[in-house]
Amino acid sequence: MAFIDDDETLQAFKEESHEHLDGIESDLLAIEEAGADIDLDLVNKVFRAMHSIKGGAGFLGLNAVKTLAHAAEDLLNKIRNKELVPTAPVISSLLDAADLVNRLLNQPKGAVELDISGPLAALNAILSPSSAQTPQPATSNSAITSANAAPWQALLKAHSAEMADNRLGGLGIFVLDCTKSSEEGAYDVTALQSTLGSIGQIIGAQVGDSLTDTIEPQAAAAQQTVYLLFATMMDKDMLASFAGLPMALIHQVPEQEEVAPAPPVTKAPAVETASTPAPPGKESPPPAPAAKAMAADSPEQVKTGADSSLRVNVKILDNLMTLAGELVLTRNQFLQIVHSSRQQDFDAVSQRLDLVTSELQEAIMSTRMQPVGNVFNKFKRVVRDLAQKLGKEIDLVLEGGEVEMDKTIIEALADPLTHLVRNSVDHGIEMPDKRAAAGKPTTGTLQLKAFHEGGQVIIEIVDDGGGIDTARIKEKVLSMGLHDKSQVDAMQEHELLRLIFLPGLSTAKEVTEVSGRGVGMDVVHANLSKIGGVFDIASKIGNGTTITIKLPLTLAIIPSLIVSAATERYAIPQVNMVELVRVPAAKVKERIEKVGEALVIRLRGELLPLISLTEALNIDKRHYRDSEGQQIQPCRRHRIEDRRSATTNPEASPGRSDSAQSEAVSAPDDQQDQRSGADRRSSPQSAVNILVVSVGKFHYGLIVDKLLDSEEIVVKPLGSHLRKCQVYAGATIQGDGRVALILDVVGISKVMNLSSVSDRVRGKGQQEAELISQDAQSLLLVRNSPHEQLAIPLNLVSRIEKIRTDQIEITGGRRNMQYRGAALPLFAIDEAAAVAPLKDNADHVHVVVFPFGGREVGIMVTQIIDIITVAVAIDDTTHKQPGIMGSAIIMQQITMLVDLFGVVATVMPDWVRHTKLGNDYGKGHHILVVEDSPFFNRQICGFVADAGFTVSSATDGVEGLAILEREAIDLILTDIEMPNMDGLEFTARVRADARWSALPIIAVTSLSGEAAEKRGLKAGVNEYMVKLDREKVISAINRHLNL
Amino acid sequence: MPLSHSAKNTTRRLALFETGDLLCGLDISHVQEINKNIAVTVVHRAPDYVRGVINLRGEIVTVVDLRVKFAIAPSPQGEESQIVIVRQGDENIGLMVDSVSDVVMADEKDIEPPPSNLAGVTGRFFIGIYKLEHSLVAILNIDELLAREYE
Repeated sequence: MAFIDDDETLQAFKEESHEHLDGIESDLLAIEEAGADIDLDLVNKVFRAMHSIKGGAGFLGLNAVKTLAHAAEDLLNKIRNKELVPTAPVISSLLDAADLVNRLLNQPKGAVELDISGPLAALNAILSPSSAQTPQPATSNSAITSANAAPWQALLKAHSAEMADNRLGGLGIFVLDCTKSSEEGAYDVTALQSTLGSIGQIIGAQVGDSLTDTIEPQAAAAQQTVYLLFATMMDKDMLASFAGLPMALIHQVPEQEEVAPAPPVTKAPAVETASTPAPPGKESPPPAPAAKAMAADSPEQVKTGADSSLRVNVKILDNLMTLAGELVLTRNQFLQIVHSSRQQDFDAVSQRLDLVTSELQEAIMSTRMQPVGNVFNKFKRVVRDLAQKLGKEIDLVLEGGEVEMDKTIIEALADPLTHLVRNSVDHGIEMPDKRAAAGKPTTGTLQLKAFHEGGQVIIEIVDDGGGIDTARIKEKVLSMGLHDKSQVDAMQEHELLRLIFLPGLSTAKEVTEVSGRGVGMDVVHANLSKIGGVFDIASKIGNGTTITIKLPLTLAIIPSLIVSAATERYAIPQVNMVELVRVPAAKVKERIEKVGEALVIRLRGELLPLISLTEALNIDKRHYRDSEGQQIQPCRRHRIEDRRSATTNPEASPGRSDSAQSEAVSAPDDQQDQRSGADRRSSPQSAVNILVVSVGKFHYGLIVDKLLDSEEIVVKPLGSHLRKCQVYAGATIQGDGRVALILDVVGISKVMNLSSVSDRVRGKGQQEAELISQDAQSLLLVRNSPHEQLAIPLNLVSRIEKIRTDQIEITGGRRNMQYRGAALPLFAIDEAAAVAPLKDNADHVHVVVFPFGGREVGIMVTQIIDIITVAVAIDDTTHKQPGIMGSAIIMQQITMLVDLFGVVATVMPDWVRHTKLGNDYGKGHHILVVEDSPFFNRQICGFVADAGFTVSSATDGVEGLAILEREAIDLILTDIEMPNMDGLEFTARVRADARWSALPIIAVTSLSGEAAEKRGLKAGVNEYMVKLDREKVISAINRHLNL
Repeated sequence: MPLSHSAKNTTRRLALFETGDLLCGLDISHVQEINKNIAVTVVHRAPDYVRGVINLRGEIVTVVDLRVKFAIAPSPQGEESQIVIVRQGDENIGLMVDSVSDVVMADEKDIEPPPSNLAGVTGRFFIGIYKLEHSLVAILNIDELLAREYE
């Protein structure tokens, strides 16, 4: 029997209770953790929460809630009085009760109330093991014992039937002592009765000795005892505050009360009515004060960490968001007009508008931002319960709970995360005994991390369980016929792992209640995709699994890049973009290659698959919109790879530039860029623009016609008919009012079947990567004649200059030139070695400048071909001669490796003697050279020996250590990339041994770069040098040996 | 909206428009507004009956080409057409038609069920036929017309 049938009040109560309950779970878990070390504040907090819920429930007639809450409250009371230790069963029962209260509150009005007997019994069992009946609202003992002797016996007796009736309806019976005290002032009985009437039923009254139905003010004033018999849903304390009466004056009438026969009291004849004084109709006005009272109650009681916050209806926020979005669009339009009309007056105002709009938008979006901890904290309970249920021990570590995300995203995350967490607990982390057997700690660790990276929020779920067995995935996939064997075999590790997201796939050995049915993972996938999240899985058998989810920060307004393809404009969210690559028209032919049917581009050594946007969208390429966006022009371009470009034939493209150009070492000749004007198709406009985008960990390039603006756009959803288009993620309205579609890079990759392409591409890339990881060298390819190719190790080159042949001066029979204020001696390779001479009658020649004996010299070559990085198998016997170190097959041609030092040394042997390289100071010092490549080994040993040192050589770290044992070594020159034991490990070992810890170790390697150097220095090398730089190496040796 | 053949003398207000040779009618309660000359942005890789999308006061509205739906030859490029915005569920959809004419009051009793020779795919798009003086109006069934085809 609910007095208050007011939806609003009920709603408010429910909302508030939910807030209480939200906090209760984590608090209870914390209390459990603290164990016997009871945190009084925390217990009090939970107690107060339950108390509030109980009170409001009582007020609103939610009996079941009230009873449960009451029992819980009692239990908590015991805990805070230190009469009870919050052990696991205790907390479990409290958690169950809280759950049930939650569910009861969520029940729609009029539904059959859930059965509370289970949890209730559990609570009661803890409270008092022998109690079996429904606990009465807390009463003071005195009230019960004294009731029998109470002066209002007559009242009770007279109304026992009504009392029984009311009790049946679940109401409690009270006697209110309204006897006015002359010191305190009279209670306004009329007002009191009226108030009481709205929260319960006045059954009867007793003034002095006479029974009446209502109390007349005059009667009350007559200094007689005044008692009101009252039935209400409320309990004593609430009643007290409502009635404005001190608790002492409110007496509970217990049920079993045997009303002793009392002397009959005659009713005052004046008032004879049997009707209830407070008609039910009076219920309506009080709800307002009642609600206010409740609301007023709660803020004091519930002081959570977030102070000065207020509850705002989410609809209002949504509306604000929409308005902010519209404002952004209007601002964009406005700015467009302003820019085109060029009036300075507008500038200041439009800047201001711009600024204010952006700030407004940010501020509004931040109202929707919630800490992800809200979701994370729920998992404490989930993991605890699940672990208990399965008999596992799991430690949940939460990190980054303060990272904020849009409310919608957080809500959408809850389900997928739950599933992933449950999966980890169920299938990831092993049983304690299995873990112990594997040498792991019996308690598994599950980490939930959130952090920012590159404009996105990353969520990681890391477990140190058994990992995912990709072999089983393969089996499962094959047996389910989802892929065929060749596809599966071609897949990489992380692709196989992603297969677990396919519907129906579960590699769990058993289907437990929790997971294993193979339904959940694809739902996770779907849910994440909906909010624009991408994910990745990494796993190591025996070690554990890491699932990474990348989420956009906000849904509605995103920074994007506007591009054009044919006549239309499209927007690509910046969150997906990695970089922009522009391939000049001339380079298209070289850099863009074909692997099977697919286009790829080589980017920093890796092969990147390419998709043309026009193809992906099936756009008619015959027209394009010109730069003003107005005219549609016919386009005569065909396939990108069909362009003509200059061949690598030097005769065909004589150099055009007139002045001596200084080029950086890494830039090859740009002679090839010059082309005849007739070749219109290769004009600068036909450069290719590539957007490198990321899909999870995987990248591909999107070829677009033009790159336009970078803009903040408002994402608008597409209608239902277009939702199935995987290539679009939404649409936006541009400044001119036109619609631009927002591309979904993931969708595009699916539609174009990129995965199969990328496999092949990757296969090829892998081969190449393998090559490069072996001793790779950067080589400068040059030639003097079209039939011969020469290579110079790039590391040794300082600069490449291009000069006019008339700049070469001949002094004393030797060629040189004016260079940077000094004379630069010039040599030609054919002066030392039997190679083709420089081209006759050339206007220009290239000079490779390098250091020699403390100065710079230059070697002339006719043409620079390119710079490549390859792992070379060097043959140092066949073509070896002075000035040539050896030969190798590079780009399908036999290429001779030029020994710069050797060329000069051969032509000018005197010079060599003047440098320290030739002297005998080194005699007596023993140098160990550790180098696996026979070629380099010989080279280095060669010039070290030339410098007068004794040399021992080893081909890897193992051998090196063996030699160290046998011989007395003064200095070590070691390579890094070696089989069996690489240079870093070798160095570490050497350093670890007391005998050699002070030995100078110089790393000589072809790997350059800060990272490599850092690693080397960290391992303990004294210096890190580049191979084949004879001078530098010798001078370093001298330095370290203090020669 | 099934036609009730009750004795009630209800009248409907029908908005009339032409697509190809077909004169269509639509109960005006479905019609939100009628627009002309709005730039339609083509959406590639969309279902074939989707002409594109338009910007309707900030909302992205899908435009369905009725000619495609009725399997009539597509209209020549550049000819003026109008877009009738209708409500389907909780979204607005635009119907591209050739021209819009009157709004007429149609008596229920003058509306007949669609003839059997309209059966088949197009048949289910129509609720009934209304007789005008000199022509027949095919009354559209919006729900059927815009039912999403699940691939």
